[in-house]
Amino acid sequence: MSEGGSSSMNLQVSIYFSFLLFLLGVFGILYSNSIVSLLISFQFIITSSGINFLSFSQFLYQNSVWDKIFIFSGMVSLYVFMFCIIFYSYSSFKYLDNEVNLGRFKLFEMNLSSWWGDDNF
Amino acid sequence: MSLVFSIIDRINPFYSIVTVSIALFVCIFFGISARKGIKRFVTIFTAITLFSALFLNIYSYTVSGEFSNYLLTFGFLQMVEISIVLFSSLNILLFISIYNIENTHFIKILILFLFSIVCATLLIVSRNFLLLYISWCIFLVSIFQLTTGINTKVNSRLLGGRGHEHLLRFFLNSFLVVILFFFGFSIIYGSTDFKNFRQIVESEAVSSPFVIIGTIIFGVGIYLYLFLFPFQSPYLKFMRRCECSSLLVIWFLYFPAGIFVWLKLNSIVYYFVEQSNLVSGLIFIILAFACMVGGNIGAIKTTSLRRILSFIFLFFIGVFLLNYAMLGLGLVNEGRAEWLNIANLIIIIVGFLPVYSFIIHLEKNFGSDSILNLKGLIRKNTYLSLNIIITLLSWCGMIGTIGYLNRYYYIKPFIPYLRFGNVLGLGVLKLVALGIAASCFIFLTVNVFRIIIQFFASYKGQDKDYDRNLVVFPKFYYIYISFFTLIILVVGVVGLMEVLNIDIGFLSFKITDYQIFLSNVK
Repeated sequence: MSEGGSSSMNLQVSIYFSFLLFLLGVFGILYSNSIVSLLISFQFIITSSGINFLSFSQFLYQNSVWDKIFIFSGMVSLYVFMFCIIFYSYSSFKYLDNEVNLGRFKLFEMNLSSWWGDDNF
Repeated sequence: MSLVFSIIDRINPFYSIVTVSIALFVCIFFGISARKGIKRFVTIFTAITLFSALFLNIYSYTVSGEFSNYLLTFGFLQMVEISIVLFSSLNILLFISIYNIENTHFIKILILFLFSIVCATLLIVSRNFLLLYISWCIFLVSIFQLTTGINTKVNSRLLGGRGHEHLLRFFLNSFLVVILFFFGFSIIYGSTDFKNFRQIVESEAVSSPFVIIGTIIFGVGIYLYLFLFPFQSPYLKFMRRCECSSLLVIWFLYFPAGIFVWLKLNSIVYYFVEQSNLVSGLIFIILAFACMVGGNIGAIKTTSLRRILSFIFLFFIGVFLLNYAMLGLGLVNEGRAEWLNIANLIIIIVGFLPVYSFIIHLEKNFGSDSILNLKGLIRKNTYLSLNIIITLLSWCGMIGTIGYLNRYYYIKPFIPYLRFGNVLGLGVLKLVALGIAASCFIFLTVNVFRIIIQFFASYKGQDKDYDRNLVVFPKFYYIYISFFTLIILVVGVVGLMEVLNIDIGFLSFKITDYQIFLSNVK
């Protein structure tokens, strides 16, 4: 197999793999029941983005630096945000192993009463 | 002196950022103080710097003109957006200082507030993908910290029920959006090495599948960020419980930032809308219909004023989608669509601020945000009630108000057909768009009149403690609400004169002129 054919094959494999990770992340977001599983799903999407950047950089743009800068600064910002959320969750719910973190938390509540914001407040 | 002028030239267009940063450094210096005198000083200093930043922002544009380089862009649209952020921030500062001055962490709250303004300003002027993304992420972090800082256990209703959970859900949703944008940028990188949207639109890569997929992911992200139907649940449940000034932070910093990011995508969105105008028009019609009808139905179902306002806010966010639907159907051009977006945002700000300030004072007074709190207020406090009624009627598009200008340009494309009775000449999709827009705005009018009627309703005095005489508004409320009513009426009247082609020479520019927005699009 020629080198060009090998590199396009590797790029395709990378794209399929990152797309699979993205789909896993989206599936996890829609069906997860706790904050911990939600954050893990987010990790899948972040990882797939990183794979996209690195594979496009290697196979298309002769290892440019811009994507590395974007990945580094983007991930730093994202993980700062994630840290703030986790720290708030810890300070609000006292322990990380309680019901909200491991139990009955869904990001998207798709029922009529939630759409209209109905709750016992 | 020449050194000073050279420094001033170098920091163009960062005048507003530098000015706000000065207030930020002063607040950091006083960060650990809990003395009331220090808090008052810091608040007044912050207000002065915000006002100076607002002035310098407009001054720098009029003197130095547009600016653009690899990282940044500063044109008329950016000047308007920064002015909106700074004006909103002045108002938010007022309510933060009223309702949080007793908080021991008040100065820390101000630090986070000013930092979020700096990040929002940087977001607006950013052109490069990297700067746009980083500034947006850090902005959301600062808004999260600010919201959680304001909603401390001392003065928050979050303790009751699942309040913290709803706050978490709200910001986890925002976190998902920035992750989606990260993924979207990685996809777009696969088609082109360009670093801003304008370069992509002007190249051949704009029709690449990667750019299309990336744009769709961005669109989904913005849709989630703005909590449009059917994803509005975290927003509604959090709004019901949060501390009053944090609701203003969400409405007038968080949501505008999302709208400004959306406007940055306009060059790509307009390209795709032009390519597939009927399909895109149909998609935007359906989405606009869902959001506007959902907002109206939600508002009419509830008696909680907070929830009513939250739903009406979502309605106005849905109006942005209507603008794109009209663009897709060829009813408006790109410059007019940009004008309608900015006009809609201004209506939200000048309408919601006085109404919400009025309602929150009633809530503090009565301990609940029920719509029944408004009963008979026209007799007890006629002046303020009339001001609020005028503001509410401007949402309905009453002639002579700022809302009328907005409605006029939605109806104007249909006038030639309606005038000659040739409605069928519009075509099916345009007829559907007309029907949807008209029905949604009429439904909004019903919702607004439901609120207005309460002012005139007689109160039967069933509860002994429910005494209308107890509602005393501080004097500054009269000035504050009158100021916004004046803006609504003056801008409305001046705009009406422009529409009727009556030139009184009041302003050197036209409020209804959209041409200047075309340069931003092209």
